[in-house]
Amino acid sequence: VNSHILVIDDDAGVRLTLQHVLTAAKFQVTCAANGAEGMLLFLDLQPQLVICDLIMPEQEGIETILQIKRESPQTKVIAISGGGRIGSTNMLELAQRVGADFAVSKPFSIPDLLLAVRAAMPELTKTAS
Amino acid sequence: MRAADRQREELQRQLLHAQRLDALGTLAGGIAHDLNNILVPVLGLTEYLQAGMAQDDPNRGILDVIRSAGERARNLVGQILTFSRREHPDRRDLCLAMFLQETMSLIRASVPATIKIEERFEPVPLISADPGQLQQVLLNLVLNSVQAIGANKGSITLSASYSHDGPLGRPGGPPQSWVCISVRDSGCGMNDATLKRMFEPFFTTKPAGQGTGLGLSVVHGIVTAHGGAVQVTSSIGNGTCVDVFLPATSSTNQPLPACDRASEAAE
Repeated sequence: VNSHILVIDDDAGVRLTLQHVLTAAKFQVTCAANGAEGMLLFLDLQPQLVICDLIMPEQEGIETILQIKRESPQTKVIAISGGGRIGSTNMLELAQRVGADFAVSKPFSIPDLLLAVRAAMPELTKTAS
Repeated sequence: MRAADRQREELQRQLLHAQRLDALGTLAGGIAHDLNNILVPVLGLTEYLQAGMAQDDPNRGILDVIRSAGERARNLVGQILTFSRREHPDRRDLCLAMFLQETMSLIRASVPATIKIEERFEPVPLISADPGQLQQVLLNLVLNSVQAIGANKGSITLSASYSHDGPLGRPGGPPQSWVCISVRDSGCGMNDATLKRMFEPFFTTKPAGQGTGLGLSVVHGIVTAHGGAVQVTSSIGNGTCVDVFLPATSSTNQPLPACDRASEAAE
């Protein structure tokens, strides 16, 4: 079973945290610092799950999620954001409307995040249990 | 004509005030976004280290301190986001008199015995509001009143009434019914300079370390997100009255004894 997760976030602290926590939970993790870099890695690695931040330089998250879902509708996406709303738009709600399977607001608790990851990869959880 | 001029001046003043608060809200929202990112490793990696640690590890206590500081920061960021209207109200129909009574029974514990609390509720229409956020509004207003009264004897009067006219200078539109929740205190009152800035985030008249300056900006953010408005009258030595106007969902007043039934129906 492919247990590869791609993390796309412009904040190095967030990337490092997810790398530590997900590696400890036995996932293979690759990180990108923006949507453009993330798309290149996505096409190259074909991960089963993408965890994608929304407000990023170069290429932001909504556009990235749209591209991922266009390229590979079966790939699961968890949108993460600490921004809440921009103007009258709730960014996490918008991410789910454009295709993200789950949305988690920052700062998240690790059990909550792992819950979303396992819900996004149910085959893997079955294999593990 | 003079009345029309006064109204235009009042609207211009309110517009400038709203623009200033909006700019501060955008700034505060940006800071909140960055802080939420910063808190991911602080809280996440602390949890991660604790999960792999023996129960009797002496460093567990140190990590508890880091985690609790991180959680305090997370709550503070939550308040900033509420001010900058980046938190969605989760609304439901509320019978105000019963809601206010319940809320006051929770708040009463934080009011010293030297302060008398009076409640004056008229029958008012139902409102559509987020109970948690509205509770936060009342808590912040009552705590401000408590601080304005200080160690003196005093009183806080909480009232709910129907308002035909709504807040001053409200924008034109279809006729609407309004409900007004007032918190009036016999405290020290505020001067004009404080009145002008009281809703700005981080503005406080309290000594350093005793107030975040977020309480009233949170009140403003929540009420505005509910389509309402806050009006304040105050003068030094004569206390303060804060009127929170919220749009009613119907023009029919809920008689006070019917509140129990209305709230059961809403469950």
